[in-house]
Amino acid sequence: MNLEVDLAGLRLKNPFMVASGTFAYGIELGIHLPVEKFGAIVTKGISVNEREGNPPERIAETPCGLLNSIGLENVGLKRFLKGKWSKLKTIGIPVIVNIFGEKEEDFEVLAEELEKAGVDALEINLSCPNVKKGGMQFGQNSKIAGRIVEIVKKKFKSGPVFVKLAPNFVNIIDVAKECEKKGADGLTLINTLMGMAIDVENKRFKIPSGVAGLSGPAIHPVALYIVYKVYQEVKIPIIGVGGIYDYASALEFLMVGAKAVQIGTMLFVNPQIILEIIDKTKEYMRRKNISDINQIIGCMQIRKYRR
Amino acid sequence: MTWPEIYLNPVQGEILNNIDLGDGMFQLVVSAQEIADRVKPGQFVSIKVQEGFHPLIRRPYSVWNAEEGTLEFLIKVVGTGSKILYGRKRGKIDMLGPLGKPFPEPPYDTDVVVIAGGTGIAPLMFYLKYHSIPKSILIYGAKTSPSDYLYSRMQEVCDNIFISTEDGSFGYKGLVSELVEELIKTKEVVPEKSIFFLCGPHGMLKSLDFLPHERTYVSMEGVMACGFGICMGCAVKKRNKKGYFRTCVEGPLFKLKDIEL
Repeated sequence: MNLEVDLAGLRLKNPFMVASGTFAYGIELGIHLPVEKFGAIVTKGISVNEREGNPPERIAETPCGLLNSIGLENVGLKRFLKGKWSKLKTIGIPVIVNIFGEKEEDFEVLAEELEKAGVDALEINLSCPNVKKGGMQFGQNSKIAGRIVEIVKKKFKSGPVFVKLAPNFVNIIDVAKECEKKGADGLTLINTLMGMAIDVENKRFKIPSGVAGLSGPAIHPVALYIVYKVYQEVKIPIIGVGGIYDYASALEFLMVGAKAVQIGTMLFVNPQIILEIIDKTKEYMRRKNISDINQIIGCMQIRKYRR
Repeated sequence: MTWPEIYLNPVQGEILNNIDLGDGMFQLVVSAQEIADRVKPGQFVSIKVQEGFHPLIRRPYSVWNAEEGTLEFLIKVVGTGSKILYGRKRGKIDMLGPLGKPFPEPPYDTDVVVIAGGTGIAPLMFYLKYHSIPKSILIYGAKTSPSDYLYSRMQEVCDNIFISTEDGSFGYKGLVSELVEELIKTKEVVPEKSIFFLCGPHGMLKSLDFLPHERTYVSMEGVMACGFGICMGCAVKKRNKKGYFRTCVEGPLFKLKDIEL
C-alpha cells in the first residue's frame, strides 16, 4: 500500500503534516511523540527579528472552533538557525519553514539565509490576521503577493516554495493565480479566518486586540470549498488545511484535489491525531481496495478538472 | 529550559464521584492509575469535559490529591467546561497528564506559607500533604466560608490555618491580602523567615505583590489551547524583561520576581 505523495518535488512518506503555528518549532515533542512518522513538519512562522508576540489573552474558544492571536511570537531567524534548525534536520522527514516578513526585504533575507542552511522547503505566510504590519495585508493584494513570491523564488533554490493564503476580504483565486504566475510551487489553503468574540458580561473582546484567527472544525467546510475551487484555477499542487479532525475530514481535502494536508488545532486536543489519521487512512484504503493514495487525490473534482 | 516530563497519550479515566461542596465548588474523583502514579504537586491534568467538538479544547485542572490510582480535583463552576464537568456524575473521561512542572522540594529550615483563593487551594494542599511539611501555614480566602468538608480536608494537611471571607461568615472579614498584612503585623507570619506559595484569582495575586519577590512563588493559570508547550497561548509576561513564559511547560509555578501580574 502506497501513502507516498510527491508534493512539488518533496517526497512525503504520507500526506499528513502539522500546520504552521500549531507545533511550535517542531522539535519540542520529539522525545514524547514519534514525529518522524509524520509526512512533514511545518515550523511556526519565522521572522528576521525576534518577536515577543501579543499580550494575553491569546486564545478564546468558540463553538467547534478556536480563536487565536499569538502574534507570531518567535525567536527570530538567527536563533532559529542556531538552536532549532540544527535539531530539526536530524528528524529525517522534510521540514517546511514558514516565513513571515513585515516588509518585502525581510523575505529576501529569510529566503537567502534559509537557502544557505539548506532547508527542504518554504511556506510564505501571507495571511496572518494577528500582526499589524505584513501578514494578511500582503496576501490581500495580488500584486504584492506576486512580488514577494518572486523575491523568495529568486533567492531560495533548495526546494519548493509554498504560499499560505486565506479568503479574508480578498478574491483568493486572483491571488492564487498571481502567485502561480510568479513561480510559486504550491499553495497552502487556508490560513485562519478572521473572527472575534465578545464577553458581554464585561463588555470586552475576548481577545484584547478584538480580531483573531478562527481555526478548528468550524472552518473545515469553508476550507474544503476553497481548495475545491482554487484547484480548478491553478496547476500547482495544493496543501489543504482547516479544521481537520479525523481521517475522513483529511481525506475530503485529498478528494477535492489537495496533494497533502496539514493538521493544526486538533493536535492541541489530541496530540496523537496525526498518527491515528495515518492508521485509519490505511484501514480505509484496505477496506476500499485502494493501493495508492494518489488514486483518491482529486477524485471528487468535476471530470474536466481531474489531473 | 528543561522540558518537564510529559505524557501525550490520552488516558480514559473513570469518574468515581462528583460531589457538590457549596459556593459553586465541586469535588471530582477519577480513577486513572497512569496519571495518579506519576503526578506530583503543582502539576495539572488537561480534561476533555465531554466527547465532541464543543467545548473543543481541553481544560487544565490542578490535582488536589492523588493516591492509590485515584485523582481528586477541586473545581469551581465558572464557564462552559466546568459546568459540563459539574454535571458528569459517572462514566469515562478523557485526560492528558500529568502536565507542567512539579513544585520544588520544600526547604526544611523555613516556614512554608501557602496562600490560596478559592479553588487555588487545590495544588497547595496537595503540596503540603505530599511532602508532609513540618512548619507550614495555610491562609485561605474566599467570598464565603468553606464547606465543613473542605475545612476538614485543610485541617488534615496543616495545623496552622487562617481564613478570610468577604462576607465575614468565617474567620477574618475582608480580603486575603488584608489578612496576610494583619498576620505579618502580629508576627504570625515572618516574611524574612518564610517562603510563600500563592494560587488564586488574578486580583488576589496582584494584591499580594508586596510579598518578597525572591521568596514568593506563584502558581499561574491561563487559557491554554494545548497544555504541553506548542500553541504559545498561555503567555505570562516576564517581569522587567521582554517576552513571555508559557504557563504550561515553563510553569505553572513561577517566582514572583520573574513574572508580571
